[in-house]
Amino acid sequence: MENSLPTKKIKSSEDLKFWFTSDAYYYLTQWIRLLSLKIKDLKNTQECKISDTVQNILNILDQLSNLIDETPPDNQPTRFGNKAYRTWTNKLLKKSEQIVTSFLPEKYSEYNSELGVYFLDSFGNPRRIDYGSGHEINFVCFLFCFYKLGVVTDEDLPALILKVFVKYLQVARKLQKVYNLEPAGSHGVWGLDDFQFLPYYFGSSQLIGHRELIPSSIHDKMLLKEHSDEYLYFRAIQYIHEIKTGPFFEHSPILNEISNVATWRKVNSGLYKMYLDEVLAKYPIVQHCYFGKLLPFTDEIRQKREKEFKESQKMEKKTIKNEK
Amino acid sequence: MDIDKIIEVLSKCQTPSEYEIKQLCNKAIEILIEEANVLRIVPPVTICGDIHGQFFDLVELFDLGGSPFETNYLFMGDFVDRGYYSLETFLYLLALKVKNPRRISLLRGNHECRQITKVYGFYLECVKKYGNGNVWRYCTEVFDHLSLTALIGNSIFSVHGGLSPSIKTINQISLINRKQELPHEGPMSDMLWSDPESIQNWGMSPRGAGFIFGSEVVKNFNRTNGLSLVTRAHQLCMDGFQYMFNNSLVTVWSAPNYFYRSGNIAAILEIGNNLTRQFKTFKAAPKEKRIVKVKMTIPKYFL
Repeated sequence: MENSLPTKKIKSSEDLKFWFTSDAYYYLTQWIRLLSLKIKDLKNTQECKISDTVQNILNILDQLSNLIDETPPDNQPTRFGNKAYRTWTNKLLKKSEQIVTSFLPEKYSEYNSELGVYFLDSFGNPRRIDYGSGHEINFVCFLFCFYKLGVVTDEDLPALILKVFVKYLQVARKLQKVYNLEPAGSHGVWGLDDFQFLPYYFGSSQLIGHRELIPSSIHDKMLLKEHSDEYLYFRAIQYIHEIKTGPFFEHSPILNEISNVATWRKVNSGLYKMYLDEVLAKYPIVQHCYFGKLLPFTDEIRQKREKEFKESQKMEKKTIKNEK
Repeated sequence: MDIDKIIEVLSKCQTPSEYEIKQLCNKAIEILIEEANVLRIVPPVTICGDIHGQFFDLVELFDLGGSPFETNYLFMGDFVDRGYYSLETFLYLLALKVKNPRRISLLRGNHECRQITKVYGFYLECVKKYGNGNVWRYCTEVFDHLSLTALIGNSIFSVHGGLSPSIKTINQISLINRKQELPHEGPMSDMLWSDPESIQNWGMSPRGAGFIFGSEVVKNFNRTNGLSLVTRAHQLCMDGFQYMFNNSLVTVWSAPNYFYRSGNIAAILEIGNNLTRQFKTFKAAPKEKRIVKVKMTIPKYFL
């Protein structure tokens, strides 16, 4: 038990009710809220405190990006995604020990492998050659682990989004484009975005106090170009234009509707609720989430909650019986 | 019920009344309930893959493959979710089935179930278009009755996903009780969720349902059952179709330009009288033919 790595624990949609009351759920939802709060009204270009730990993650992401340049797409016949992506993943795995052992200071080194599980599953699935919101969750869990251990503190949080998460998205988008990754579990026109969710949530927080840019500003191509380096939200919309064909209202109707919301604050709070409902409450996504020592959803907790649930059902039946 | 009127309405990508939909679904169930888990189809027949609510691309498919009133079709499931017009797409195919049950064959895909359609858009679409979940309920009842597989001319086997470690012979499929919500595991689930992979035998599926299966599995299954080909859908193909394992298995995909970004073409597989095979491919319907009438509204989270 001491040396076990994070594993998947949500085995069926019946497990969802235990997931909602787990420590992991609480930590994850509060974590993304905290991150959103910490970057309110800040641009990507904002000067931030960058600790050695954070700089190391940035360096690793740079390495991963270079690895893509060193692993161009191949000409092998394929169903859809380019198989060179598997080569890239193998190269990443070969470097993984060196990468993973560099994450944490010596005194926390026993947790490195735990972080490694989240990190290595943040960049898509090599078997299916796809990428989706589940991979994005893994990266956010990876960042959470640093905070949980106290290796990263409140002061570091702006850098985690404005520098680290921004760079992570650059790597993810480069992978998506270069290797033609399939969107994993996209909801099509009924979902926010084929690949990501959190850039919109965090990005809307960056814009809350903005004097000129309003939600409908995303339709202005000049504004998109001007501000995509500074704001996650704008970059995300610009990226959609780079990869999708046809009118925006047709291929991205939900984002189109959100552009009619009056304020960024409302967009931000709405996206939080939507994330909880459309991502964290959906079995097809969370069945792939990992739980370990830092984000616990242990069998003990699960068994405890299961017992509590059965007790409450018994009580309910008894009450109904007594009432009759 | 005036089936011709319903077909007329649906062919224009319009929706009938809730009551007409209920009648249509009830009638469809009466027909489907008599069908076996393994449909026996006499060629010629045109085999199609996933549609995912892309109604106007389904129209392109019929333009290419021939009128559904004159051509035999087998659809391998995944009619709903992700696209704008899951309801019109599914009901149109269902109405065509009711009009001519021998001509149109429909198989169940992994998206034809309550759990998945509540996540990937079909449920939302039904509520948006009718204000309540009734129509979704009627359709999911129909899903429960859809057949699972087809055998064309005794040597071509069709299924939405793939093979199951629990199914060695086609006869075993007849023993499955299919009239239920799609289970999470077991042979019925496997056949609608599995994927072929460049391995030899069986492996865990990264999807979290079904399995991955390789060349030896297909070779043995085909040999045991006297098959020349397994056709399946379930996975996006850039070229519309993809052969594997020495042409003993093929994936057919019928949703062009999937997600408006994939740039993929779609395909149909025409099986002739003598079991000849011909692929035909098509692109997404041009802009002029795609009418987006769905008026999306601001999601409830932002109100």
